[in-house]
Amino acid sequence: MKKIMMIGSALIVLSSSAFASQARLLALGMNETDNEGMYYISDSRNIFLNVANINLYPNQAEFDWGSTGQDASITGTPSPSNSTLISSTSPKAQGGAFKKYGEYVFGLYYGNESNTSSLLRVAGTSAASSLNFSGATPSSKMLQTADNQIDVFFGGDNGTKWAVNGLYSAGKDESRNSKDSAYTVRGGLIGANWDTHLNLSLGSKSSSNETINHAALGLGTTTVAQEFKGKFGVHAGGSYLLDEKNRIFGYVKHYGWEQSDSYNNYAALKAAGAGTFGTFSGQNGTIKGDFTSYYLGWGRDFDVNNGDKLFASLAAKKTEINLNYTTKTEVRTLVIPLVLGYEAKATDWLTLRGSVVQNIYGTKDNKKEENLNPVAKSLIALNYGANGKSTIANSTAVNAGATLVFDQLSIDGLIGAVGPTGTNGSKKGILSASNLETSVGLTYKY
Amino acid sequence: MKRNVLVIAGLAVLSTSAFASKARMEALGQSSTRGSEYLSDSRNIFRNPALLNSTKNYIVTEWGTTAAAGADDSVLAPRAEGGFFREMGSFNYGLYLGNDGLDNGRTTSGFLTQDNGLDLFLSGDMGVQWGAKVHYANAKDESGTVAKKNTAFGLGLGVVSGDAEGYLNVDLSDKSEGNTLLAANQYKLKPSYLVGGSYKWSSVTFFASYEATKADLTIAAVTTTRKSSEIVVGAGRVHEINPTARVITDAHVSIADDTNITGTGKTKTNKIPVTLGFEADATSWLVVRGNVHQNVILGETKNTAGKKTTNANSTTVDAGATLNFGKLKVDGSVGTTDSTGAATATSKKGILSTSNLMSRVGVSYWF
Repeated sequence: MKKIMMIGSALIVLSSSAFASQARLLALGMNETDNEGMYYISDSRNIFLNVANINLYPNQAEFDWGSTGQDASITGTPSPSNSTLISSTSPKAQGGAFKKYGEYVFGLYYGNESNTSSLLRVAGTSAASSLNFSGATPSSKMLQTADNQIDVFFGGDNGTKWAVNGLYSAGKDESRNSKDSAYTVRGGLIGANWDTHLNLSLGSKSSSNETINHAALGLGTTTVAQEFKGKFGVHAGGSYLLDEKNRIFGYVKHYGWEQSDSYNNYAALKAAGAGTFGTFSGQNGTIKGDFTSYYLGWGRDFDVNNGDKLFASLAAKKTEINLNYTTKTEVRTLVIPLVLGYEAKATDWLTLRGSVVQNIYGTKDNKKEENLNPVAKSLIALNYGANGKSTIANSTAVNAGATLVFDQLSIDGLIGAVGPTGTNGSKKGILSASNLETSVGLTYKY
Repeated sequence: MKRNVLVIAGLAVLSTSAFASKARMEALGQSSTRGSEYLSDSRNIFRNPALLNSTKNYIVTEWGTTAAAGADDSVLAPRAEGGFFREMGSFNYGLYLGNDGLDNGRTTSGFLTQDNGLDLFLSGDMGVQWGAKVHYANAKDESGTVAKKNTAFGLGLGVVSGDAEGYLNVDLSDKSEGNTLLAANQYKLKPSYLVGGSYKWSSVTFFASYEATKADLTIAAVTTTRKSSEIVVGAGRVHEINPTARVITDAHVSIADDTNITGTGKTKTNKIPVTLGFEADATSWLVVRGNVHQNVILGETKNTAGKKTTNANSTTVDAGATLNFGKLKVDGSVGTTDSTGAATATSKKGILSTSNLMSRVGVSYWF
């Protein structure tokens, strides 16, 4: 009898840890800029939060469906769509494989480009270059964001699970005289009732020296040299299991950078009507910026109905972004989201999950976003709110997802994310059979 | 044999009481906001929080948009909402997120409306079942030239004793200060209430309620006071055809008025809506339901000039379904989108769409 109970417990643990995708965690309320995982829900996505998690998912391949990424130079009115952020409505193709050899686990993962890195490089782009208004509409020439990223993992278990990960990304476009590179190392440990990680950004650089054309504004062509140069960045945190279920967690993220812009004719650019695309200042020269986020919270799961789970968490997250223009740009947000979620095995082949999230407290106090280039301004406003002090409106969100299970193969995805006519992201309470799942992630265990 | 009958009866009760969604209520012709006076559904706790004693230990998520700034929840534009309800010793508690109340015309005037609403529930059974709920919402926006804010408090109390129940829901305040034009402009809801009760006699539930609302709208130092009231008296019945199917009927008299005290006078609406509906377990995993609803004998509005007009086109048909996965239930409306997939005010065209399998989906998980 005792043996049967032990096997049953093992199966429950297996079933809860067998899932693996961004879509699953998004359905359960993950709201991180880089979708790097959650401290209190077991999922292979957590390897990007604490790399030691590869020891929990040693023999599997996973593939997140999506596009090949967005071009950094897009024709159209400067807007967040000119950016390269990954979201549930525009997922990016990425994936990798992990394998245990002897006592060690190795892994290789492609394409997990960081949204935070992209956000900062967008913010670091010259305002003049982000317009490049030569024809009927602007054709933004943004700094290149990280591309073709490779993550290599190596870990083991000596009683304490450990792992390290190296990240490398580089690209160049000689037609634009532009190039970029990024290097990061991550390290993590998982003990019996604790885990900790230290993720270090050792280098992040993107530059270009290309001709931009403001003929439509009567200003002709000029060459703009611009550079984003990341300083030492750190993402350190961990969690502690207070008892069987209750876990507290927290992290600090800090990234600093310098951005330079050689364009020196902003007064004329604005006078010529470039402000049509949003009030902006632009600034010649080099300025410094920094991004800091503090996160502290509690989370737990509840075992119900023989293997299903409920989840709850309450956490405070404070984010500060500073750009030292002549008049400083400041972004300040403080949110305390409450997340309630469930995950249930509907049938042998179908697991359904969902969550409701709302800020119990949420404020922002942002200043001088007009200093930013028009693309960055709209992107910051989308993610952190526009200028001014206010509560954060409409924070209540409901997400849902499903996993189709075929033995070792599982297909995760979001459900209910499309509108009645099939528009992804247009949530209208529709269960669509046409777009059965979105942000699909496929996992195969071997 | 007796034991088998008891088990079947128990399962039937379980299957009817385990539903929990706005979509189900609408498909059966009931209020999606406050639930039903006579049908068991967890939405009823928004009318009478004492009913939390009979619907507990579940989590519910109502799918919808997060960006409905100030817009009322509706079939076509559902609002993301959800909550968690659990038994704790001899008490039950609950937390519901996103119940942002009603716009009451404030959005068009540029006021902030209720946002990030939070409802807390507590109930118990001391021979008489009792329950209470507290509603709170708070929002401010100082980013524009005019600072705007909204604060709302509400309180609900209810009791259930045998076949009788009573409830009182009070909106203690709902105040929006400052709109896009002036900081001094404001919308102020005076204490407003809904009081009512029901009694189940034989298989018929008789119910009555009275709702009174009063609000001041101040624009450019001119205050317009409006008040409205509605008296509802009716009866409803659930007829169990067999253990897997039910027919529901209800009728009520509604006498309502909406008065602009400051200006144009009173509008009165009297009607007798009658609902005929059904709910049947089509298979072990599918429940289908629907209703036809129409004003009968009485259905007219008298305008401020005293002219009466029949309320046109009161006949409506709604349908819904539940995908039943044991403890997990996926409720939704069906037939609400047209052949192009569009969901508009006129998109009901008699289409059973497999693309938009369900709309206004609500998922509940019972534990």
